[in-house]
Amino acid sequence: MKRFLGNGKNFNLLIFPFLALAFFILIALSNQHVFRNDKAVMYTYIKSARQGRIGYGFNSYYGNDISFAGLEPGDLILGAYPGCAYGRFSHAGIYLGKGKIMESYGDLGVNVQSISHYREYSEVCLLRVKADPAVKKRAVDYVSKRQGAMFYPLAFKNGERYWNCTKIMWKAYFEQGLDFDPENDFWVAPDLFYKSHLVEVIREKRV
Amino acid sequence: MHILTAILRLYLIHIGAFLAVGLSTYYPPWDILLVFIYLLIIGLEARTLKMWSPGSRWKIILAWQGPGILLLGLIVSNITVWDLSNYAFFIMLFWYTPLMPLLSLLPGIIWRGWPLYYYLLLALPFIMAGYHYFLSIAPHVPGIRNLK
Repeated sequence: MKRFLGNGKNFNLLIFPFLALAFFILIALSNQHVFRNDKAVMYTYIKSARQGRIGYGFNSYYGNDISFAGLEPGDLILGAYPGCAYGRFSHAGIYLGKGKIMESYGDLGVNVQSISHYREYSEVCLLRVKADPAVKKRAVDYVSKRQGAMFYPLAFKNGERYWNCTKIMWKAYFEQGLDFDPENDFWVAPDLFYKSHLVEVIREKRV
Repeated sequence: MHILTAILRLYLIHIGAFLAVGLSTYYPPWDILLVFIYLLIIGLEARTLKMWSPGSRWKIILAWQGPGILLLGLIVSNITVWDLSNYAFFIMLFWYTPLMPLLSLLPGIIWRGWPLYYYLLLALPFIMAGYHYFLSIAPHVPGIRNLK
């Protein structure tokens, strides 16, 4: 071991573990409420992993024929594949109008898609945010300005350089004074939108 | 230093940087500072190989970038079974976490349907291999001490 670490090269090997530990302690100390919350996303994921479920579930085309009629800009769309590790729903997007949604996904980043792609999910839920249309328009404007921004699966809620499908929606409404994560978790799971008192379910369908 | 030791050191640095940079994204812009520390340390490691044969250097570099090259192969193969290509992209995002802050600074330009960071991420195994090789053959880099 001494030979392995020797000759003044210890610094190269030890600097990052030291920094990781320092950042972990800082994060843990300032977020003790998250570690105490047994419904935190990290605990949901760990519990799922123990049951052999990882990732966003069994991806396939399920042909969900839910109606998208009556959607308004700013409405939220949740999609689910069976076996998702972080809750019932695995993906989320915000309706822009004219059949388009804004979402964030691995290789595409923050991007605009046709709402029809949600037909691939086995479960789809449409949510209406209980807010003034002007607030919803500002939320849509917020996400629209971030097209092409980077996706990172474990994007913390802090900062505006990394996004995942839920963070961008959470942040868009947070900037308008609506917080879909009052427990202030590290990450926002799609299920939080479904359970929030800030929305009403327009319709949902499982195939 | 044995060839396996050189490879193991690069992996340990990479895994340590994965944790440190990943956690530092909670405190932006600290993550950007950590990327530069990562590149500096990889550069220092590369300098220790300057007396080695090109063949040995390439073995070390290819072993170090092996996971990235394998993931790139899975992504471009577009294998749909178990959504393998998609998951490979997710894993590649994680694997290159030490360099994510640099990609996050790219403008949100979309070309042929994909954002700029997509192309750069796929190129990272080769960029990092080139970076390491260049520094390992460069006769003298001002300010970089030869640790061997």
